[in-house]
Amino acid sequence: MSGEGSFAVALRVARHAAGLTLEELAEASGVSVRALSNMERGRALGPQRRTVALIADALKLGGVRRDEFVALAKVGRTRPAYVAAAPGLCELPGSIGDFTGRAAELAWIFRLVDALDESADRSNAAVISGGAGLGKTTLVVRAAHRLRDRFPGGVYFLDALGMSARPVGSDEILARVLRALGVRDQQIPEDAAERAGRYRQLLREKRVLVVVDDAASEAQVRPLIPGGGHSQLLVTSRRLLAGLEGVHRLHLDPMPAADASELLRRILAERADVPDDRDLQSLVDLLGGLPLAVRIVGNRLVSRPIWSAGDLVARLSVDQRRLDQLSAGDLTVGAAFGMSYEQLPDAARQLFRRTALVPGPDFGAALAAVLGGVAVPVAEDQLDDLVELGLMGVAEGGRYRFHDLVRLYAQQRLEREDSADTVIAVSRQMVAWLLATVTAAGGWFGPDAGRSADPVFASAEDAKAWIRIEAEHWFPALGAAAVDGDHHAVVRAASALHWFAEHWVHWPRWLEVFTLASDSAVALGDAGLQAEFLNHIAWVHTLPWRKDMPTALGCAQRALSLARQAGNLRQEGWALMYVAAARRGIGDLEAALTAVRQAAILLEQAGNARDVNQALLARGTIAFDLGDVAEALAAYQRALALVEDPASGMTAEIAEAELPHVLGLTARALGRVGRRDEAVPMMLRAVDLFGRLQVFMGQAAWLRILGEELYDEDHAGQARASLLQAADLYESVGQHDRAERCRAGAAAIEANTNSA
Amino acid sequence: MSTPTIRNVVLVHGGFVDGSGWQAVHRLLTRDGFTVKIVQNPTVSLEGDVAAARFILDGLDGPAVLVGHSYGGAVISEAGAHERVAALVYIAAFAPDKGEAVNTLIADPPPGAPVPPILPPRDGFLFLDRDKFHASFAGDLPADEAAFLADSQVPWGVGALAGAVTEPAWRHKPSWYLVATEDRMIPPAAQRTMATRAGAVVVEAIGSHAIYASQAAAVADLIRQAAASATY
Repeated sequence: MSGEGSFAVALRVARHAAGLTLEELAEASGVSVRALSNMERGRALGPQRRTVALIADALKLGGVRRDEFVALAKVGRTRPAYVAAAPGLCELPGSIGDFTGRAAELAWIFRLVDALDESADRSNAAVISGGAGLGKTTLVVRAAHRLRDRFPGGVYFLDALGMSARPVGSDEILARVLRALGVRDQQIPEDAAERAGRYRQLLREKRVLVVVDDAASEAQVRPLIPGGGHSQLLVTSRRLLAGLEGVHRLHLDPMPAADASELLRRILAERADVPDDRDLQSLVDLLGGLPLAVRIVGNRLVSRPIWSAGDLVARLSVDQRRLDQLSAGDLTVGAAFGMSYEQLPDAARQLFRRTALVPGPDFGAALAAVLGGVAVPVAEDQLDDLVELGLMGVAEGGRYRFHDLVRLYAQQRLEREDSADTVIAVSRQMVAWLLATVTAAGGWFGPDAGRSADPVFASAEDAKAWIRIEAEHWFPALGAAAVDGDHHAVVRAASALHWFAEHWVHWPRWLEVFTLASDSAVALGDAGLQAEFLNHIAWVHTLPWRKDMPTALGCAQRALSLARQAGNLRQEGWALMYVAAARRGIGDLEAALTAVRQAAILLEQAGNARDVNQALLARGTIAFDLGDVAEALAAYQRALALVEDPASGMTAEIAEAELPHVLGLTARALGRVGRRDEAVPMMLRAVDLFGRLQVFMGQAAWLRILGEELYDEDHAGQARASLLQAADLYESVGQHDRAERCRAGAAAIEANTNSA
Repeated sequence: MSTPTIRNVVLVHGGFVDGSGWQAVHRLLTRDGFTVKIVQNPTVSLEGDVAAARFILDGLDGPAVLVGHSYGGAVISEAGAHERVAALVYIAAFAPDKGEAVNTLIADPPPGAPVPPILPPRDGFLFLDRDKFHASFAGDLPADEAAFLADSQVPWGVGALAGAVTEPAWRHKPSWYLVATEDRMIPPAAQRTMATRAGAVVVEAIGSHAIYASQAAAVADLIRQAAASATY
């Protein structure tokens, strides 16, 4: 993180400007020399806010300079906001600067990795098990950082959310790791076994470390075990995962008292007055060797310098007896959390309790603000306080997350302190906000995108990032609204989202989204809406990796009769489009052509240019497949005219994205009817446009057509070059079969030329 | 935590010590609702210790997890044939095969492995060198606790070390094994070999030979998991 460096520099510059030595600044601020020195060397990961305030006071920073100083320190604490498409990067979290102890455990992990070099057929999976709060994650993250050099293929970290209500499925874990390994969405196999096979193949080829944190079950991680090679899988779990065969297991115990004391001492290094050894020892004994509890209590002491360790020892021993509602194992931590929770202002406590209602694993300040009933900047401040106290962690993209034990604690506080009615009301507010926001975001991808000012999102990029990152929240909210009977909100959201679905076809939940919406449409008694969602469901079934054509046909036919009943021309047209797609998939091209001709007529009547364009392309493709090139060419040329007509009503963005498709299809049909002179320049233009849009598969496909169909014998050199270029592109996206086919084609041309 | 199917746990100690070392494990498991019995096996002969374990097993009302530490592993391998035993848990323990005794298993130590400071037998009984007890047996216990263990040693009968197992129960029942990675009495490599041979679910933990006392949480966790997974 570059921000750490800049805070370090800013601190040093400001100190010199004030004419202070490190010791003098320590004296003036009450922050220890060691902590200051670590900050100046950029070694402290995000100094805490109160510490920064103390330093700023001592440096007599005011106004803008102070704001900048504080802001720089904050960059070190949180990540730059809105890392688009953050899920999928599988980035290893930062290692804790004051990591302490666990030397034997680290050595155990390093020995495993050493053994990988000795023999490739040793088991290369390990499970680190142990109770909550023992520091399993901290340990493996630390180990993974230290092992980075040993794994040139990369280190990938994934939270399996084993303790949550919705652990991540093994298919999804595989998909995320594959994506992080550079496999494109389109190349990720849909079939679970194939996906696991591809993963194992890559792990054999590279040296990769995969860390799966908080696994729930054997089934969740079994497909992730590498089969031979020099890659390693590290899993943490509350459970031993005894059903996994041939894995190494290490059970984590509570930290030995000496290590726990050392950890506490390091955390307290930021405090000017270090508590005496006896108090530290009593505190550590009370905390039962749980690093999580040690950390939270330590942060508590640092952030509230008025409290002494002795005060905390006295209060903790009382509270541990008092917190009888927690199960014995969690008693220690519960008391530790209570120390921090109880000294928060009421509003911050409320926000803390209520964020336990968030369905997904992490969340942004905006959602927390809705739950806490405060403005976003206020929520940000409160969340920062919680982070500072260790009650909340920071996740990728400047988001916030609970440790699951803390979340349990928050839930408990919620049940105790808020009435059932309040909880229901707050949950409803959250659901309503999520659905309203996702509806606004989806609007950015529809035909009216950008025509009216959206108060929520500034751009399509923002809207896209929000939909993807917040899916773990709005998707459950959709279900909650349906159960609650708020069908209007469900259909509004699903309807707004269907435009975006085409930009995120690989998301596995679309079928559920549209099924929920279709049920809500039934509940509302709206046949037109029901037809719309049945059409979307048919769309999901026609996707290349699903290809369930009979089911798609059934949905489309039901949509067709409902649309007719409702007198909805547009949905009737789309239903016929899916009938055509399904018929074509089944192999009944004649029936498909009949349906698509009707669809084109209806959609033209309905008057949406984007729809008409799609209908024309579908009609052209089916006619082309049937060998009726004249009808195909006519359809394509009409589509081309539409896409190139600025007054068509299509947005410029869509027209730009469509153009290379339409040009290429038209060029191919022109080539087929012998008009190669016109076809070649048109196809070259399409290739160029796809290149600019970085649609490599499209570019490769058109280059292949150029080489195979459009260049004549007089241009054998160009044909060969096109095929080789296509092969390179296919290779770059992992389409080895297609690349091979193109290379074979190029070789055949060369052989022909030579023999001639 | 849901009620486990198996509610009984029987703990068998090893040589040089008595059953009081299981106190922390007892506390953790009884708190979870298990009925925990500790066998005070005299460690004079294998038959005598097996009889002591069977005596406790006979008195139970239902299926049990039978746990052995060190030499106690030989005892549970033999006594594990008892009908009440649903699962076996070895804690840094010997897991002899048919016809093997502890003597057989320690005859061939891996090269470079630390040699346990066992003094020459006196009247047929063995002791550990009290000055080396802490480092060899209980490196991760506080010095005063280790000193107490050293001074309260139970003499270990050479006959017990010679007792051969007839039909090891791990061949017929699910077994679990906790490897103590810092063990200087039974080399961790030997523990891994025995555990793998027994087809046990193997878990490692950082701890000395006295892991049953020093890392009671890990031991209790493994027993819990065995109780939850075994079917009876």
